[in-house]
Amino acid sequence: MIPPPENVRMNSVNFKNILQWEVPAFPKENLTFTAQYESYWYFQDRCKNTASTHCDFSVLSKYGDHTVRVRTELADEHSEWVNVTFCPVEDTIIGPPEMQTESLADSIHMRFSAPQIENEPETWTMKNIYNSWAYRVQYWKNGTKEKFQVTSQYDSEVLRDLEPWTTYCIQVQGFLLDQNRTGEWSKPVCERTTSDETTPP
Amino acid sequence: PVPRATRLPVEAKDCNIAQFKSLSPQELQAFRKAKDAIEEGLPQKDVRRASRLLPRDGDLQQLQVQERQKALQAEVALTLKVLGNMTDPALVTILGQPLHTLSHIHSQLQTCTEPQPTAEPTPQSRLLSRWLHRLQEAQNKETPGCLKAYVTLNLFRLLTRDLKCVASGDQCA
Repeated sequence: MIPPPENVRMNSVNFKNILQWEVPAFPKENLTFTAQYESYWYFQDRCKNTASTHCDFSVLSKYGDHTVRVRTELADEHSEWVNVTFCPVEDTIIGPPEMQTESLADSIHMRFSAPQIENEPETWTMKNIYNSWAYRVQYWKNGTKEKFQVTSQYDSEVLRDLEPWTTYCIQVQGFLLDQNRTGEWSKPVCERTTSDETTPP
Repeated sequence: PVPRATRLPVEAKDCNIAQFKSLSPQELQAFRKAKDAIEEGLPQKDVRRASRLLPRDGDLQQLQVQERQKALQAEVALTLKVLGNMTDPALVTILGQPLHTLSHIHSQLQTCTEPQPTAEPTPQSRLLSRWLHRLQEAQNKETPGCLKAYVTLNLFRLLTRDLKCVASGDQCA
């Protein structure tokens, strides 16, 4: 009896949908795997007799529930299928947006770009998929714990009336207003403010 | 491959048709590939006959906002019925994802057009009746080849123009 793959899960970020699993404990070598997705009529192979422990399902339509499955195979024998149900538009993780910052006097100007999507042109980003897309910014004075937040539905935002000659750190995430759903934070970026007077204190 | 039992659209949880204001390039490319493949095999006589059945541009917009969903649902249902009966293995592979998307759109429209329990039943307008009658008549009278030509020719109007209009709600004038 061939054991099924273990720890089967869909790892999806910005619609890059990778089904992952682990090799089950089994005395013999040369185990292979076949992974399928449920097409409109029947199950279709996506990765057939593969020795690897992942399979790319980014071709799946973004809408509706999909059933994908994987099994272990050895010569003519095979395990039971392990099924995973997955709805890309609801389940994919929203990756971190990109952000450019510029410090001008006592304010910091930010420009955002939404994450790109696997198998889509550069101009078609996560913002195009989700009608209620917004950017949520989190910032704090470097070295302090208190964090402040701003949400913007625009691709640029300005943090005003900041303390002069002070370093602020900033992160941004994608945020779906109508679902209260958040994406991954970007890496912090730190900028030092100046002031209207040119000479530092 | 194990053929799936008769495919009943899964009930959508809630009405979120607005998400279809514009399908992504990848989704549209999958539909285009399928349409091109089907069109290659369409006899000209079916194409000519089907062309006469197509709605005119702007017809859907003349319907009242809430009736557009019903009209579109009927078009999507017919498209699923015709394309869902394809048996050519080459087409079946290409149609898998597009029909999955259409099936989801159909279940969304079903949810959106479900009468609210408390709502007063509203009489169906003459325009909507004529729209639905046209589709029903086509199914009763036309040949399978003509219906296949019709849903193929109508596919991108349905996906880009009509679906966008319905997804835009009362902003579609």
